[in-house]
Amino acid sequence: MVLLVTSDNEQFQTEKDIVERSVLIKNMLEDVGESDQPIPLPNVSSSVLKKVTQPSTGPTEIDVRGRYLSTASTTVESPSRPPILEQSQDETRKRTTDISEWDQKFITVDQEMLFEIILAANYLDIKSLLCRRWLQDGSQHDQGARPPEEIRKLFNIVNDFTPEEEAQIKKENEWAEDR
Amino acid sequence: MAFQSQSAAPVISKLEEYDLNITLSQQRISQLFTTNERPQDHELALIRPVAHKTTARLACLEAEMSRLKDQLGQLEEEHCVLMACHTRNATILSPTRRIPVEILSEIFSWSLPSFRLPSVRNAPWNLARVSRRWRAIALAQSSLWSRICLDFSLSKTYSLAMVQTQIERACTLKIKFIGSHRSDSRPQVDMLQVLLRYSSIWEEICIVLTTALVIPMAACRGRLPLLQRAWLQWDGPESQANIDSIDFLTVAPSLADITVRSHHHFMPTLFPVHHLLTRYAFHAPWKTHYELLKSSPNLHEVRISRNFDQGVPWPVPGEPIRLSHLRSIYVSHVESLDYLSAPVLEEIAIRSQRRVDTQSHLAPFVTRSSCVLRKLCMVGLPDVQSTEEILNQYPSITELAVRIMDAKKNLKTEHDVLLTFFPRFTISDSARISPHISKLDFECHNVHVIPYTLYVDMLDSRWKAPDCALTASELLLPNTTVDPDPESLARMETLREGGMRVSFFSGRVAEERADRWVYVASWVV
Repeated sequence: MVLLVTSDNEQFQTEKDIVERSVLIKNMLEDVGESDQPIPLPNVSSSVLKKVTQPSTGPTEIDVRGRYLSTASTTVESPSRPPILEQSQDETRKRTTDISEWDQKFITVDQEMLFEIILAANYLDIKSLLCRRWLQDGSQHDQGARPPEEIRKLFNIVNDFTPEEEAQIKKENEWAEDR
Repeated sequence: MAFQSQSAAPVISKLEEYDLNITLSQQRISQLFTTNERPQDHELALIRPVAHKTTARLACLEAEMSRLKDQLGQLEEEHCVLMACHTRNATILSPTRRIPVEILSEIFSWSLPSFRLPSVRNAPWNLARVSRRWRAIALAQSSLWSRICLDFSLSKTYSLAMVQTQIERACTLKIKFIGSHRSDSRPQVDMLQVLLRYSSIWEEICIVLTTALVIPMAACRGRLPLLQRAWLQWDGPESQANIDSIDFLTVAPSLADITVRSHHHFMPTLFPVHHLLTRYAFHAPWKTHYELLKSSPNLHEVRISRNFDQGVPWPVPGEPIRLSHLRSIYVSHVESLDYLSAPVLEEIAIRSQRRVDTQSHLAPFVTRSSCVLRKLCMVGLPDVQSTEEILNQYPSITELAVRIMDAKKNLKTEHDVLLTFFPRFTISDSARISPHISKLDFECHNVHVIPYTLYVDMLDSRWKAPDCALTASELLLPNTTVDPDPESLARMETLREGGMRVSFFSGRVAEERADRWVYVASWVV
């Protein structure tokens, strides 16, 4: 077990193989070796760390199909594992665009929390978690296929293009005409 | 602007609290109401007070409703102002604004769809149309634009200008180009010409060739300095008409991984002569393979598919070709092993043949190589007896995969193979075949032949046997999306809950996973 201390001074006992999915923590553990010393996480609050470690309640909650079944209509390219247990898919660059029910329940957080989790995932160096958060946000699952207007609405982004940029974008839009 | 709620509204009584009854019979009231008859004096005396009371109360209600309407209007006005304020604040405070550029870039890279026919509706195009910041980040990240997938078998046309723009935003290119002789060749050739202008930045090319595409492809000969991976395939026998050989890869100094697939005719393909080649897969006569293997000492992985030389006898083996770095090999004919030595080989996939004794070729090869095999994959219609013999002889093999494929697509034959394997690998008092196997995988092309009960019986028995090492199993059914029967599924679930990694895949993912067993290169463009 590893003892983690959050920015608001809460302590978390967590299994070593789970926290080692974080490259940052893995490196820290390698540096200090076997030690009972707590690992400080000054950039992660307890509420965020709870979200990050919460899924480690165990694989038994997920059924054989939810994790390992894939059909032509539901593209599950990697077994749906709790995000912190997820191996990085960097090598293959495959994406999962369909989200399991388990993931759906887990990700129900407001945008501020989402932002905090993204920052924490980046700080802890858990790439897969970082990206899952993004992909799972909102009612649709695939940000890669959202219209820009929806993305703006979802994330409160202002359309601040200059007229010249708008003209260029309009030209790009013409390439979309029913090809 | 100040908003203030109205003071206490008058109490509105419930309807039943009024006495609106008129002490006349219902029949008489109905009669007066539905005719023009003049009420009698005593009736007027009864009706008038109730009418006055009703009129007064109506006036009161109307006044109250008017007041509430005014109040609602004020509330709506306040709500409208506050909503505008809220939207403004939410926009200003949006966490998205605070996401650092490097994180947003990383997120963008994960937003790319896995199969990306170019479309401005998809990432990265849509991301570049959100805001100035997003556009700047997307355009600065050249890797977002480097993958181009064009599939002309879908009868689609693609915008040359769009692809040209995408190329200009990329630093290197990973291209998947599916040509089709059934579609108009002109747009295909035009698009290929655009891509060929940038062949100096190609890193990967996966191309399905047609006759019309081979000619322009010749232009890239000697102009592929960065190309690392190549996959060449033909769109049917018509596509190979009038083509004698392919030589545009001959000068590709970075090329490390080549796949050449041809199921129709042998197409001589000249590979670059250098020692960088670490992987190849080729459908070719044995003589071609032999020469390639001799000139590629740094192979890590190879798929030797002997084809197009049926009837040609195997030559007498001489000094074996030593492949010092080879870790994985697939052979369509186990006789190929007679010519090789691979001291660090770990994984082997063998297509079984009816009249060939696999062991008589595998055993001398393993002895000669002194390799320690870890994984065995049997392809085709393997015989359970000879598979068992191999496992017994090489206890270092801890993973077995069986890919059942009948070239004649005979369902009964596939069924028979499963009916022999599942019971044979079931642990019982009298049979304990290879208890050291830790992973046991099966792929079957016809879902209707799967005896699920036997499969789960086998897993269950190995899981429960105290000296059995089985911890994982995959069942792959590429040609279906149908679940196993509920009872078998529930039993698999129970095994999962107990800790065994039971995996069930179907459809495209199943096919991809099974392809990995036999070292088919994965192309994720």
